[in-house]
Amino acid sequence: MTTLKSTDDWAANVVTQDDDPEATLESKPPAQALARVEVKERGLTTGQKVGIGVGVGATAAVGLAAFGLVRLGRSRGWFFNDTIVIDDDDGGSKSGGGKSGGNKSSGGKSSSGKRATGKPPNISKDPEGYNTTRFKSPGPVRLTMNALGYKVAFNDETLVPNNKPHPQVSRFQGDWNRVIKAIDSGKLKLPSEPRDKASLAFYRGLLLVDGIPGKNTLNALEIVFRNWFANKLIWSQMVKEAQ
Amino acid sequence: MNARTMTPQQRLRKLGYTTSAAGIREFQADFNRFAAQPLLRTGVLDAETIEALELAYCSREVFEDLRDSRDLQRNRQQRGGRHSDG
Repeated sequence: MTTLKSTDDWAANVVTQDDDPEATLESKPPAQALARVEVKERGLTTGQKVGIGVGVGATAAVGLAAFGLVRLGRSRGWFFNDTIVIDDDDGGSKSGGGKSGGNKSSGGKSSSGKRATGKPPNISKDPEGYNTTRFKSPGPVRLTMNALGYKVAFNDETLVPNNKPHPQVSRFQGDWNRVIKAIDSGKLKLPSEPRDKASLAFYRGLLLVDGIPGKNTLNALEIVFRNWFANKLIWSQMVKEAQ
Repeated sequence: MNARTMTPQQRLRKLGYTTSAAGIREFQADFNRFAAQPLLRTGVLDAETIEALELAYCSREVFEDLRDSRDLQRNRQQRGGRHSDG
């Protein structure tokens, strides 16, 4: 009887059995192997055969259910320690910036242009979905916003007490969306020979204008900040040109 | 080094400042660029400056970027001055 080392082996064995009818008893799931031996060695009555058939059927059903559960679990990362990098193809449900609150849903799609779809990318590739090293608390979020021209007090208090939207956060989110759409429409031109071309490409995705600095908003803040330093792109100027 | 047990002097050094009066004044000036209530540029680690240090330290990635950009601008201005003198 095969000893299954992991749920992966179990799933593989179930698939193997279906695909390979010549597979030996050792490679089949144990319950079915036992059922076959039993039928071969005894002279069974009809009732016994029916009972065994029901048992085999039930076992097969359980096996299929388990297989389905394993496949579902693998896709969700339940069993294997895969790191899930959230690339913001949806709104995301967790909050970002420590005490600052959460971004709840998608920012919507634009039907035109290449950039105004999806969400701003997580350029840090932090598996939490945003840069937890940079934005470990509301303080750095506030400082970033301040530096980009959004007047918020520089302290370490949450921007959104009781999840109350912050007007300056809403302002940034709206500005970001306008800038992205303006780039797409050609109204706002990016430098043709930037110092850091890769950082320019990060200007994409739209935000939900909800006044909550969640992951997507934090990613957008980081992108703006990076381009300010790498490509000398002044955000306030970009916002003005996108009006 | 545990951030919570760091002394103000250690935080200053980690942020790239010296612990001299000049270094403290430099930090106070940098912090004042973003503070709603500016610090007095005393060159002394008073209570307000210590609190500001804690805030700057928790935001250090951003704070250092901003401080470094100030240094870049200052260097460019100094280079521009030398050229015009030469």
